[in-house]
Amino acid sequence: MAEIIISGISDFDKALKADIAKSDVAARNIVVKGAFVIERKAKEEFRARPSGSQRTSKSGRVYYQGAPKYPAVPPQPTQRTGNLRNSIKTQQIKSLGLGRWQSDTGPSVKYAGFVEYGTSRSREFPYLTPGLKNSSEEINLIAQEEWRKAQE
Amino acid sequence: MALLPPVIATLIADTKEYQAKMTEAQAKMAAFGKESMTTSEKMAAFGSKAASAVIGVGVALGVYAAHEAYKFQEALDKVQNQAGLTTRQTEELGKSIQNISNVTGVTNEKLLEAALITRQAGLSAASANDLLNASAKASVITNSSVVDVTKSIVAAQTLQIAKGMEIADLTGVLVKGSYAFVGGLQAEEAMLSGKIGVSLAKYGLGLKEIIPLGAEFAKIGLPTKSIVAFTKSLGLITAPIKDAKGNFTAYAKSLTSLGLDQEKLAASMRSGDIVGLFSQIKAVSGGNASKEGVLASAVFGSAGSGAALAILKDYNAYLKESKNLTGAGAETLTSGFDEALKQIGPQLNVVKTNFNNLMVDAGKLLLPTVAKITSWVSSFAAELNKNDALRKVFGVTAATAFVVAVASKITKSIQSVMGLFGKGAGIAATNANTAALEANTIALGGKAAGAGALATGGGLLKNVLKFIPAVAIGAAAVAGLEYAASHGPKYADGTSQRRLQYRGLVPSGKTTVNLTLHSRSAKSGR
Repeated sequence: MAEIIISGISDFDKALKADIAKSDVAARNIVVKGAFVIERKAKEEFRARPSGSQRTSKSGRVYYQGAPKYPAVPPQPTQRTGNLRNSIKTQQIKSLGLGRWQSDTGPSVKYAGFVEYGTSRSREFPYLTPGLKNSSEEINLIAQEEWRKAQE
Repeated sequence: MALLPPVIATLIADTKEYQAKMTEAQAKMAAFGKESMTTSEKMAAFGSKAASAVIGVGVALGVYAAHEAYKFQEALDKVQNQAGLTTRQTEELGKSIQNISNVTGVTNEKLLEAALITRQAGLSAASANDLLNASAKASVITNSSVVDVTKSIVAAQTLQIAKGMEIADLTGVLVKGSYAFVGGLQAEEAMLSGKIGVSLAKYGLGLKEIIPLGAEFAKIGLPTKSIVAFTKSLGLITAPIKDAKGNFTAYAKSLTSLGLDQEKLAASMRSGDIVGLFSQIKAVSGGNASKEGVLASAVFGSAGSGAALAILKDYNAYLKESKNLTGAGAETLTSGFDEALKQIGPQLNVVKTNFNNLMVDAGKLLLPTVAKITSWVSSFAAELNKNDALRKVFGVTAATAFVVAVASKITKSIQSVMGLFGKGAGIAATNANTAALEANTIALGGKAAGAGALATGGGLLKNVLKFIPAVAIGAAAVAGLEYAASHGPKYADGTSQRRLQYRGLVPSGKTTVNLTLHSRSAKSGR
């Protein structure tokens, strides 16, 4: 009759637990870094303010001229004051349970949706949709790198 | 103002499948521990110290096996991706590499590197296999890297300097040539695939002519520039001896005045008989060193005369090297390899790679892609029983690793598996008496195994944790990493959603990543 004595199970168990914890950290890092990528890529979608379109009156008020002299170039949004662009930020990062993390990224100005989706009087000038699309490759790389680190 | 939907990109990283696999593994290990605890309780009379050491080895090797299998699979995947192989071709390549490794003692990693070169060079599976086999043997004989040898052979084939030669013959020539080559096979490879090899090949010279020339140049460390000038001057010899008007060229006249016949020199050159070419010069010079210099300048020009003189001055050695290569071929490779295997170093390498390949096979069990446990069990047991060297050196440790590996997959099969070893195998320990442990372990793996297990157990136990991530990676290959991105919240008012999906690869290379984008129109009605 073969008799086997096994030891080291608890060490093995500890290592598995540590690995689970590491994958949780990796998941968090992926969404945090991914959020920054989305933010950056969404901001990159904006066309720079046309040169000369910003004017300051004698009273000191700043004006931004649009069409016809400085028309929009659809579908790319054009930066005028920069408020919408500058408001794009990572808004929250939260845990959805062990190994599950979520991050939210987007603008905070009220008219953000009008620009992104369009209105009855204006076509859409999406910035977050293409920004997100362009982020996928970089997010994949981040995920791979974080995953690799978690396995080290 | 209408209520505006927020514009938010949500990124979710979800490793729940991976977590589930890890939890499952944890549960299995816990169950396994519980079972073994029951067994150990039955053995109350026996202590735990020495047994812990033995099983420590077992656990370490079990995990080591998974690590090795993963490493091997990962390297194979790289070759598959870089050489554009199909899954079936990759599997076959893996098998043939393990076979070659078992015979030659060259590691799988090095063979895979070499395999990539052969596939990137466009060789078929069969030719690549022959080439790897020959390269591995040559690397054992010359104590050089299998990658360098493979490069040499590929270079020789690409330059068409080994026309009509079988790979084994070609490798035999390379091996024989390397004996007299300063810097060995590596230098020979560098010469063949570098400027010198290309320049000499341009004039139709074959491998057996190029190697002795290269060896002579290597001896005195002649600069590449001089050698290339020499090879260029070979073109002078085969040039027409008469001009358009039917008069002898100045080159032909100058050779005639020195007692040389350009036509004879050209005939030797065209037939690749470089030895004949130099022997004509040597004969005319009559052994006079200063006359050799004049003749060399006349035949090869001032730029090429330096390299030519190097050969003329060491003519006898050059002649000997050329003659040596005449009979070189497949036989040289076979006999050289047989001789090399009589030495202890290569023999140990063979044992090591055999063991490692067993571990690779064992480790595949821990990787979720392999499910054919029964066939593996039989072959493992058979291999261990028939291979004396393996059984003596690694008997206990391998068997213990095997048990642990199997246990993590099918806990209940341990007893029937142990039966395959043909003995009432046992690993036991006494509290203070290590001799008792030895006696028990001998039952499974022989005397050396008992002592080996005791000696190495403690050290390997420390490495257990180091290898655990490999198991985790194995699990990850199945579980993968899933994450999704959603654009905007989910609305209850039934507004339509636009959906955009991306597909990509996660680190395991086997799982799909879905990035899902949800958005909807604003309340404005668009």
